[in-house]
Amino acid sequence: MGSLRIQVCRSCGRGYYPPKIRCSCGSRDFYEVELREPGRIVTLTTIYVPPIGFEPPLRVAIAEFSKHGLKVLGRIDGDYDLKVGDRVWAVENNGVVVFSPAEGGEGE
Amino acid sequence: MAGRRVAIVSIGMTRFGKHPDKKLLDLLAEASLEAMDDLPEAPVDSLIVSVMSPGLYEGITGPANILAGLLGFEDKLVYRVENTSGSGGAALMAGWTAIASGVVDSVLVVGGEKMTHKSTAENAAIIAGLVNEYERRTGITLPSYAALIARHYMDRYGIDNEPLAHVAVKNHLHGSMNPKAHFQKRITLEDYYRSRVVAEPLRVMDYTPISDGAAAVLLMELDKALSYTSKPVLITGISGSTDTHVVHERPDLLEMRAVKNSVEKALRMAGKSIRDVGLVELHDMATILEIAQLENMGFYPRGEAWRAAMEGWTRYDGELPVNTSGGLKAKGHPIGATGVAQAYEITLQLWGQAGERQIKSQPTAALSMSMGGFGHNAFTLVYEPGW
Repeated sequence: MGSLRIQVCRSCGRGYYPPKIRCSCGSRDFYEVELREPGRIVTLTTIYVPPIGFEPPLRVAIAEFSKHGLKVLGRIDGDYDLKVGDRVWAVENNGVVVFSPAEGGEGE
Repeated sequence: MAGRRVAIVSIGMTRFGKHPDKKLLDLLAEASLEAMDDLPEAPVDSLIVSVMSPGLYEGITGPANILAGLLGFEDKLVYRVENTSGSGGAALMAGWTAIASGVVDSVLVVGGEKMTHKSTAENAAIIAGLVNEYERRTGITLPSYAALIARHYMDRYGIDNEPLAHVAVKNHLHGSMNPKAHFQKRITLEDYYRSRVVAEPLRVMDYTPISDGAAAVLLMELDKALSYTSKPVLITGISGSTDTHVVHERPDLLEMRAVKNSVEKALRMAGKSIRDVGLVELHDMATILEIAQLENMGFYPRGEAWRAAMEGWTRYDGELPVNTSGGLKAKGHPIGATGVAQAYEITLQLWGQAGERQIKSQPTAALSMSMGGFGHNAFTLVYEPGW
């Protein structure tokens, strides 16, 4: 299980992570909400030549959620066999979204 | 469009590659002088310089002023333009605007970057400076974004690496015929598959190298230009467009809206359709981007452009020559120079002076697209022979 605190525009309903100062619709009126649903991996890569300060292989992915038109970039830190289309939980860990399997795993 | 028209009247370029004995200003000066020597009587009213990070690379601020000093320019309109890897396109826009508005009659636009004295890791850190702070915290870089997009494209359209390999082979073929390209060596499909994986599914041979170099074009108001040249290359359309800064905010990760919209607007300004365009220089920081950009520009339907390099359509002797210079892939990508070097190549081709890689057709319109970041900020120019 997991939840991710995201920012939602009160005017157009679009969700953001990381947060913005002004929505593309022009509004500056946002609220925060816990996203308590798994997303689905849209694409992923394993980076063998990461920037300074990161250990290879580094796995990153973009997951898509059904609410607020939200997609989020995050990391796959655990030793999971995840592929495109898999359902994942997203949680924030030290300022980075981390994905873990939502099916066949614990606490669905 | 009524009003003052803008043309390219002369061009200059250093070889792209490793220049251990030259600094940024040496490269900028070399390209500038070549463009000026090409048309020695032509007056230069303004100098616009495109460089991304002279501060981080060489501890320089104000490269435009230093260059103006070296070139003996006094009482000129002089400044620098920066738009990360799309700096060249933005500088051409600044030059075009200065002339079209009537502020000046001629502008020397020169772009360059000195990069190879820094390690790959240091370069990666400098280039990653434009990425959103959150995205950077995950460890993503622009090259790994290309990998995410390549995976997505492959899944959606059911292809493997082969079409990407063909883009690399094609652009290296073009580079092998360009004496100013960083890589002047052809590669084979085997070379491609032998290169190591950088970020799955992309390999070393999918990516542009790190290069030093500079390129320059002299822009002039058309009536004035005709007193100095019989072959002005007209810039009849020019536009810029941006996409979301955070890449995952984009509704469709394969839709490069800055590219699409800047091309649409530039073509509309020129009164041309995409079918009129017969020559293209685009921003192939990675092979997948050549494919994605050709689709977003409207040359091929979505999911179809992967065939282009495989079938030879985009080769210099094909129906739509793309990146005849070798592109970023083989010509190299000294960041501030790249967009200006695209204008250099288009001009050389329209003049019929591209040597071995000269295109076989005589297009009525050509297009270049200079892109900052991962499709963050794109500038498109439409060119037409003015004779």
